Amino acid sequence: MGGCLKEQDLIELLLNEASAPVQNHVKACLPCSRRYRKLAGDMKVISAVLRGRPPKAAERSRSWSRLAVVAPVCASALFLFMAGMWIGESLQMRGGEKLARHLPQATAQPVARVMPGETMLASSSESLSASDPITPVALSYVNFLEDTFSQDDSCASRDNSFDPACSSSWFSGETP
Amino acid sequence: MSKPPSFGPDYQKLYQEHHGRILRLCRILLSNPEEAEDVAQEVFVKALDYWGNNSMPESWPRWLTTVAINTCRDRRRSSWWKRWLKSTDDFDEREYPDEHAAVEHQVIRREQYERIWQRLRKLSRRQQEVFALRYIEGWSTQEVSEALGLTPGSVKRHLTRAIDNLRKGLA
Ligand SMILES: [Zn+2]
Repeated sequence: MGGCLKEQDLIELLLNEASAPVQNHVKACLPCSRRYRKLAGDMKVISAVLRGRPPKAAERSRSWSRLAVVAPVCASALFLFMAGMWIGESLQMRGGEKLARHLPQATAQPVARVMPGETMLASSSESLSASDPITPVALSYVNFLEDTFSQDDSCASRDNSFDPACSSSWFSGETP
Repeated sequence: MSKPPSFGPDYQKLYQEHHGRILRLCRILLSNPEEAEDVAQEVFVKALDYWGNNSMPESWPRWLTTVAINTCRDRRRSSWWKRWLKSTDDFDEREYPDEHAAVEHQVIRREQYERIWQRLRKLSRRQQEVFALRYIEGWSTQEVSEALGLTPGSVKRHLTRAIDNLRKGLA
């Protein structure tokens, strides 16, 4: 027999079906003899394991492992949703603040133009400094504008069909 | 453990002598302890029917083994079985039986124990059957080839692949 044995030959030897040349080779060849002893040792362990009870498959723990995958995804989705809501709200609020800040400014500009020499007015305290002079006429005009816009805001937030104050502001532009 | 069906002392003897062997064979072919017990019980119920017909097989041990293999095949063919097999690649660690932790001074690690069963489960049906009959039951290559309708060469190839795969579980 030329060359070393195949695994199949060693298995046949283990199961008492090996031919005489195979048996002789294992006796004479140290590597094959080692391979055979290793195979026999491994098969002893495998037999012992397979004589035992098969471990019950972990259906429950598998469902938990599925949950472990699904839960972070759900949590992330919820987080993104909440973050989106929060960002949306804060943008709306900022937009509202900006509007509130800019509207009086925008409307105050003509006043400033109407009254040359007067500094541009703004209702926002941050755009006002102690050195900014405000005339009573300009201030009352700004207050009027602020009142008007705040009234519009309050009407926008509810059904104003039957509110005379709201309906007047709603229809004032459309029905002269 | 389920109770043997009662059908006289001869049948009781047959049950006592072969139930353990048939149960082990079913465990290897199904890798599921509960299913294996069910199928082993079913095999002995079939034996009882056979017994009732006053016909005797040539060899009861051989008859029982063949019926066990066929019954396991039927079980594996059912759709729910395939679903179960797909859904259970992992093993429950709590199910690891401590009594098998040591084999002749060689300690089998729990991971090894689980890996070998996982490897067994992943063998093809043919490989499992050839391994069970040839290695566990000790049938000759010729007997296995006749029982499973394979050539002796094919039996040897299936056995070599099965053993090769199972040994990888020891790594
Ligand atoms: Zn050699």
